[in-house]
Amino acid sequence: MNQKLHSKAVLALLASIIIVSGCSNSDNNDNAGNSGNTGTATENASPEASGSVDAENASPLGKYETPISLTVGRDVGANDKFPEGDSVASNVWTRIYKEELGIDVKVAWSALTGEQYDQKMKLNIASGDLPDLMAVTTQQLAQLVENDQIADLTDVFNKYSSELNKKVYQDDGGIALKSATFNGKLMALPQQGSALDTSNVLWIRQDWLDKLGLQPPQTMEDVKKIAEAFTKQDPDGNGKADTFGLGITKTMWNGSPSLEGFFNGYHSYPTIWVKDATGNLGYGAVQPQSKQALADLQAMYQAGWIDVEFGVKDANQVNQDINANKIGMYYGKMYSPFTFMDTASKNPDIQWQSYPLPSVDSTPASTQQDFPVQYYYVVKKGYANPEALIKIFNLQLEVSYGSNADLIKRIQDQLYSHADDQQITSTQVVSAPIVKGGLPTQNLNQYLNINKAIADKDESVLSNEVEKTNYKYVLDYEQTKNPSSYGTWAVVGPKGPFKVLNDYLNNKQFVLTEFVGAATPTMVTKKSTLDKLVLEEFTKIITGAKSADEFDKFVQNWNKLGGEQITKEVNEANASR
Amino acid sequence: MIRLSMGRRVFVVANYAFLSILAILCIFPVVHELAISFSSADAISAGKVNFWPIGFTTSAYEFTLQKDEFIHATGISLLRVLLGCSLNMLLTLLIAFPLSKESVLKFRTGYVWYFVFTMLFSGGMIPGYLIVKNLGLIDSIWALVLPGAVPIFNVVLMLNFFRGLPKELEEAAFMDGAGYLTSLFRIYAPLSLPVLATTGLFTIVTHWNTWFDGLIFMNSMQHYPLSTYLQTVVVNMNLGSMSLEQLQQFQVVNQQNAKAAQVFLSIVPIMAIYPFLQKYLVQGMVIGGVKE
Repeated sequence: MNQKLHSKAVLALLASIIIVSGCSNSDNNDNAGNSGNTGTATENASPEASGSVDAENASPLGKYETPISLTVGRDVGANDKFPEGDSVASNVWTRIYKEELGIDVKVAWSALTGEQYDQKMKLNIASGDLPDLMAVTTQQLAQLVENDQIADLTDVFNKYSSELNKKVYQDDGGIALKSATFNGKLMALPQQGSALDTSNVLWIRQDWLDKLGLQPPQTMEDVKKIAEAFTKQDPDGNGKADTFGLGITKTMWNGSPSLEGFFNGYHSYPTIWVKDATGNLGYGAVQPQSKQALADLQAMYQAGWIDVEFGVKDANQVNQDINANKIGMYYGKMYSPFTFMDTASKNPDIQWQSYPLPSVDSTPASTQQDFPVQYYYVVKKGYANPEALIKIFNLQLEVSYGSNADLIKRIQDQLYSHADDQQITSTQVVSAPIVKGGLPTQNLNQYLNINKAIADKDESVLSNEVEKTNYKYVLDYEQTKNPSSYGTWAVVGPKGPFKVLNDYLNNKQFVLTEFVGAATPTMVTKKSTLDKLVLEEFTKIITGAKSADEFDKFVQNWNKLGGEQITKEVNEANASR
Repeated sequence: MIRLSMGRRVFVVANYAFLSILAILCIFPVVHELAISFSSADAISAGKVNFWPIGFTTSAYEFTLQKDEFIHATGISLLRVLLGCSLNMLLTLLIAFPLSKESVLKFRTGYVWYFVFTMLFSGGMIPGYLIVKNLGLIDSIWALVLPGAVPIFNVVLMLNFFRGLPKELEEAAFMDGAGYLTSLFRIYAPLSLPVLATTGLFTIVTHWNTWFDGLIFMNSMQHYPLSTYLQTVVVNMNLGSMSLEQLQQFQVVNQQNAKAAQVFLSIVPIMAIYPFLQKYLVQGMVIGGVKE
């Protein structure tokens, strides 16, 4: 090859690098916004935006005389199943929307809930190709608001939402709606979840506890004693020292098993934003209370009460150890029975019991609760009937908790018409509405009602179909120990974790994050690095690679690497809301 | 018989030992997955299953083979491999052949650079998506086939292979009145079996395994090819974000053995064709990879 060609090639390479770096920019907000904006601008100008506003009925469940069309980006649950002939695009819910509300739902695209849906949504935002109604993440919501691509829902929410709909967003103290409000405007309908359900509890093998003659833990000292006994006194009676006192995972947070509950016992709330000693917001993990928790974990690790391999085991692997009778105590969530039911359901000797978090001192421990909203429903700017979103959600809530017997019967007849189908259980069809979410206390109420029904032998307290179904499961396990009813029994049954959760609620033993809403600019760039730092440093301290006194140095490091800036931004954002 | 020196013998033993360990490391995950697919759920969740099924059951396979989605997705993947592979091979041949003619094709090096450039740099995901969308290919099998229709790496392999073939063969063909097309399909292609098998295997494996384009170009999940469908099956569910109803279904769906069965079934076709093409693989790679 000659010299000339070489220099040409180099030039071409240079040019391409410039082009490529230009292209990779399209991932970031500004460029994506531009392309998105041109997209909406043309949509706005199109004649179909005129719709049938005059024909609609203004009541929360009013039907459109002339059916309106609504395109949606649809997230599909991993478990959604449809009876023969139905599909994501046409199923019992789409028919109900059309018959009851006059809304003709068209699925623009669908993807599996989670990463795949988010990826698809990201692509749609970047290419400006938005459906009328879609579910977006916190981050995407902020981006869409900034790009002015979605409709202001303040007025339609106030005008159209039913009493139930309002209740869903009032029962959490308005925190979900607050997170969807930008400059006083409600820009999205949060997919309401339950903060209470994210509470931490302490799961203990009751059969081991009884066998070794131990009492349920009241303090962290008791936890340590139990951990020691579970490690050293051969609780499973197999003659081998193959058990551990406390199950923890390499990812530490989020899930079950996880360590938040342990830290909560020291009044440290590692993954949420709390008020610090000065009254400002601070990140839980770097607060001084974490230090003692880490020091104690280190001592437990060095005493051999924690699996030396925890640093390479994720929740799945630790759950395997739990199922293999190697771990008898861990901090987790109310849904834990679903992770150990494969063995516990078949062997009634294995008895797991949930306990409230023990505390390190005389102040009772409060559980941290995570902000439960992960998705927000938004309407594309320029869509003629943004109230359709509110109405769809109204209808759904009416079916779940409402009192309009006629309407409920009409819809439930359709919903449960496949209940006899072996492949499809009724709950699976129910889980397929477009707008999901419910009362924050729905699972707690279910527990309360089911147990009241059992205690009083009176089924009339069961307020909806789901409660009736689960009541049957709970009774079934109580009476026959049928393994397939175990999961439901262990969660909402008489001995289930909701008793603990109910006490948390009544005794106000919970701490919610003080910061909700979109990630601040520095969070976007630095948060993952900082999360990794926390995980690495905490692991090092627990395994004894670093002394607990290094915690202060870690906090300095955390601040230096962007934590200080994030804290500042969080405090500013919180003040301006 | 040649006697091996001591050093040589040590080397041979060490070499075989090392390669055997490497091979075992590659095989064990597959065997593990196979064992899981034949094991019962409680044995799996207690982590008891290693390389032999515990609580032997074939229910996972019965479940999988009755699953419409699985069968349908397999059909789409097979069609994709068929279309994609034929198109790839045809275009690779048609491009590599002229590019191998140094003396005949003007600006040959320019063309080569033009192709190699696209191997190193791509427009990115969003421009790619926009092109496919504006061409109206969304939800169509062509969206999976056309964007990667010219595998440049294969072109380079084949082009180098062609250059290694004796020119005299073609000259003789020309003497007998053959044109370039005849020369390509009657002389070059039959002589290039090793490189055809190699590139063919590459394209088959690529088309069979690629899942991301299925996700972004298919708006409807029923159009997913097998790899994309599997991604939706094996993805780890975040229990924390589930409602109680979803959790109840989790006890039905969390069938590790069913996941393993689907994963295992999906690698069967590739494992089935590999032995037949494998003998050409080394030859094709070596000759095609050398530039004289």
